[in-house]
Amino acid sequence: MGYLDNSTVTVEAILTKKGREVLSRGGTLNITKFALADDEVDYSLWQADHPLGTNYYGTIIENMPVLEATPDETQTMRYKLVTLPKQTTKMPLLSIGFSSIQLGKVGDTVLVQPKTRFYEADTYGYTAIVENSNYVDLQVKSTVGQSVVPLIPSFLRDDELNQSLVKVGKSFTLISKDVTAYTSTFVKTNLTIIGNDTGATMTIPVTVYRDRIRVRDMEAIS
Amino acid sequence: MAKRLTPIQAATLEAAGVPATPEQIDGTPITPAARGTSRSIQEIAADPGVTTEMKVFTPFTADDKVLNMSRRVTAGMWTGNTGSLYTFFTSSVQSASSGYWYYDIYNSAASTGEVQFALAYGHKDGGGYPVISALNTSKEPTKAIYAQYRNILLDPEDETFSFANSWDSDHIFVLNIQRSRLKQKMDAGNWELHIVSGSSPAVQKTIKLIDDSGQKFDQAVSLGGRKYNVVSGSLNVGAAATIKTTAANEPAGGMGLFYPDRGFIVLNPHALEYHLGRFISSGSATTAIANNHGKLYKMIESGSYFTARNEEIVTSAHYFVRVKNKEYNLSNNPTYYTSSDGSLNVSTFIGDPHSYITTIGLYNDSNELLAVAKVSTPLLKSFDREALIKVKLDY
Repeated sequence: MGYLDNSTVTVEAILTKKGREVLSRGGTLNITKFALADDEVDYSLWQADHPLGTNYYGTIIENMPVLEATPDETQTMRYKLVTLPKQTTKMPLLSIGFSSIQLGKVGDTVLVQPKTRFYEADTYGYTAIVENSNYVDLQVKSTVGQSVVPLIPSFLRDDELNQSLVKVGKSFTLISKDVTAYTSTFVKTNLTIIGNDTGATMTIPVTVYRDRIRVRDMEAIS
Repeated sequence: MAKRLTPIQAATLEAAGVPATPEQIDGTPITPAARGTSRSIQEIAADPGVTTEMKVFTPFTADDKVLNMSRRVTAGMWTGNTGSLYTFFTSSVQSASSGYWYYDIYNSAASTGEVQFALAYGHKDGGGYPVISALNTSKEPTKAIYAQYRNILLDPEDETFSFANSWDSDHIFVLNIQRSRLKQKMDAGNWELHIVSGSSPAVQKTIKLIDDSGQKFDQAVSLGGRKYNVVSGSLNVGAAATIKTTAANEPAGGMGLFYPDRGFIVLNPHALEYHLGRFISSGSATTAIANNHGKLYKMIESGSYFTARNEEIVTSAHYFVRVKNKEYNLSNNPTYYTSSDGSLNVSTFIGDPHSYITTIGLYNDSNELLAVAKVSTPLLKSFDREALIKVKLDY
């Protein structure tokens, strides 16, 4: 008689910097949910033509040593696993119709309407993040209609979070700010859009020109 | 409100036994009549047997969390969690600056080693070092040391350290475990220190010291927390500790007092001299510096053995991460799909997607990543596999 395989995986977690910060403020962790990620897996190592057959397709990945957890929440959980139907042939991709945004001097605006390609996945809308709010303002054009916590990506550094602007909605207006105090003729930041339903993420550069009146030569997606 | 179906959702409907018509698939609104006996996406999503939702987070239920589990954790006291210290070093730099008060004892040469504990000598009247009347620049370090530990460990009305048999002592030696070694406290009943006097084997005298907490002799709680007697004996790892002579039977008073909650071992110089021979100079009228703690350090160095454990209470939380078969089988990993059109890079994943779990993130309601855990090897996930991962978080 053999032994039953009771292989419940037990792992030890470490607090992230954010977790320590919460405790140091006298707060409680109040962990309410989990997410899964596969940051260090390269799926090109999946060998569907392995000579030993099906059970060996993932042998390279499965025997790969996994790195220890890092307490820096900006460096982990970048690629989350997602629940999607079994027949999925395409992963959700975000699109706003252009690959970069260029704004003229103070007051110039552009409408950002994210779409999730291949999916109806805007129940919870999108999280829009402007990394440097000194250059542009971000306003919600169309709301989600329910309370949704923004999906702040963990890979924003503390200094970036301090000056970032985060909004949740279905569409957004980006408005250029006065950047005449800067010596260069233009300043740059990034706009990150995250699908709150899918976790799909896209980041595009935003350029704000100090003196130009209006700029509408946004690059079409190739 | 009518619902339009994407091809993906139509496929999902079919997988759930609800064939979708071409009209539904190409975007024609579904009317109740057209739907017939089929169910809406919302109805299917509400069916626990069918997963149509897209998600990257799963909330924990009350049954998934076991919080505030406290347990006692012990470990080797010294650097690297080693339990026994066999070599002892001092630092000339530290000795030159504060050596009249105490010596920091290192585990290896001070340039590479780490402080393990401090050793000090204190005298109630300043003995062992010139007092101010004999040396105007004197800072009376031994007097300061005695007063310092008296204030910490004795009751306010008590001015003198008393060892077993009511043996009052005007002077003391103190071993003070370094804070980072100590963690929360010393593990009572699990330390042993050897002290050897004499330069040659023929004249050497040895005492082996432990505490009597294992025997629960005269346990008392003082201002400094729990207090036990230091006695001569051996730990006998794997068996019960043996006490050679109880504190009450020591001719020159108990060997000392042990304060596990503070990490202090206070030794009785009278008892040490009884067993090891005279080595202490406690006069204070001359300008001679006795360096009594330096002499005891040499004897500890000769003993070459100090084993001890630290102790801390660790509060743990356990989170049961239950990943059902239909969940988390695809990935936002950039190697998983083609960025231009979203198609899966691995053709065999179409219709039978697989993913690997390497990292588990624990979040609060504000989507802040508070803790993170890694599995030892990538854990395969697919529609015919479920995973139960117990995540343990100590804090």
